[in-house]
Amino acid sequence: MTTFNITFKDLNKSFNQHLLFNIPELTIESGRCCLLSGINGSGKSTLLKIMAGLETPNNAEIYYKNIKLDWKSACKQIHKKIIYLHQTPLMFDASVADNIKYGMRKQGYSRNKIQESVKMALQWADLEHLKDNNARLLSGGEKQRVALARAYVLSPEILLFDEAFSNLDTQGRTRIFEQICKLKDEGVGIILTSHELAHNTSLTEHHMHLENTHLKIFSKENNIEHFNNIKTPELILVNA
Amino acid sequence: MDSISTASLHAVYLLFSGDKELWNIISISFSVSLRAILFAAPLAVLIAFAMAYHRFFGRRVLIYVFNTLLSVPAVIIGLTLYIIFSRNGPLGDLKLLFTQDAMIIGQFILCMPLILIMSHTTFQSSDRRIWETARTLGATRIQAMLTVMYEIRFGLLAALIAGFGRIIAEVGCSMMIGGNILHYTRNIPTAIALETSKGDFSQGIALGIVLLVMAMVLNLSLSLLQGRGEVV
Repeated sequence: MTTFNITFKDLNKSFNQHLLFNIPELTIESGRCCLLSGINGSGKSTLLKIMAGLETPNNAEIYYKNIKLDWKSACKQIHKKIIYLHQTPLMFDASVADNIKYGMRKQGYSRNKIQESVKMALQWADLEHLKDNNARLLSGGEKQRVALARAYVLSPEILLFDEAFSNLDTQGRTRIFEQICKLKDEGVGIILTSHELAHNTSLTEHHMHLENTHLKIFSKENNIEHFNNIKTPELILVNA
Repeated sequence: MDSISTASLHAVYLLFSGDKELWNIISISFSVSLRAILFAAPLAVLIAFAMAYHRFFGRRVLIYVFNTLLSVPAVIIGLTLYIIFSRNGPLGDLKLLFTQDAMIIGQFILCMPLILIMSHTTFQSSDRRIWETARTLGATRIQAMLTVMYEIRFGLLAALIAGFGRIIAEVGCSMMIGGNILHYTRNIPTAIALETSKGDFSQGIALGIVLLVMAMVLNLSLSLLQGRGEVV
């Protein structure tokens, strides 16, 4: 299986002439799980949105398959492969099944393929009993699962979770955590943000920390001590 | 009092007996106003979307201009168009004065800013996550825009109804550039004004009933579409 990767060079973003971050080089790839941490307002969500092609950087050189792309062409690639999931997922005013179908419909999949994939995704996310319910009326945890299933049917290469666990109770966190593990096992690249140091050393291979406009990157291979010194989600789950 | 009740009874008779002249006025009114809305609404909603979702040079000026246009009286728009379309005016050669096309242009100018500003407010208050979710799930810009519109459809529909309400009952502009010509440019408001000035209330009351029923039907439809109107 070929690995999908995209590299951002000289990536910077400012708001009202205030520099949010300046990153010399950042590569994201499928099959790896990474935690992005930083205090509130450090630019984690903005960085994720840039990676997802939802926010435009002030400057960036983007390389896909070693070819330099302009922002517009890069977005075309990004929108097919990278999916961003909001902290509080937005549900369209439709049934759970229709929400899951949304992306496939817009990307022109055949009706049979859509039916088949939606059925599978409903099973995968344990949402079969809710498929005809209006997605807006679900609980926070159920909405998060619909959002995950909605992304899952599109077979993304990379999923970007913006504070995936923040609005969930213990049970909800456990379920989402299990689903993220399943996705990782299937080779999907995962980037999770957290303003708490709540990450799992068994799940994440990388830790990126955004602080004072700089991004520090720690990999597990070279910084095992760094990974051992941070709280694990099990601990967070127990404490929650 | 007697004359009012007699006129009201006659108005009902005119409506239900299928009085040709009355229904001709009603059909002209609806035909002109619906065509004006048909041209104005897509343009207004698209500009409103662009103003709410994109930053471009002159955006603030555009908002200011449309806000100003919103409060320009219909009769001023009528006067301006009269000067432009009159024989000696800059577009006099088009011979549009006292035609339905001129009325459509006038009504277009009247309802466009209202639909645009109301739609813009609706877009502004919409959740940006709708656009972001649609885009990240692979929707094209146009598909994402249509998704946003669908999610805020009740607000946009209310803007359309307000726009239609403004032009269907507007008298100043239609009178000036339409000329109130029977069977051609006489619409509901100009007919009401004319018949009332002649002291013939029955046709005026009948046309008034049509406008009231229309307002009730439109608002009832909107309420039914909105469901229970609760925040989810």
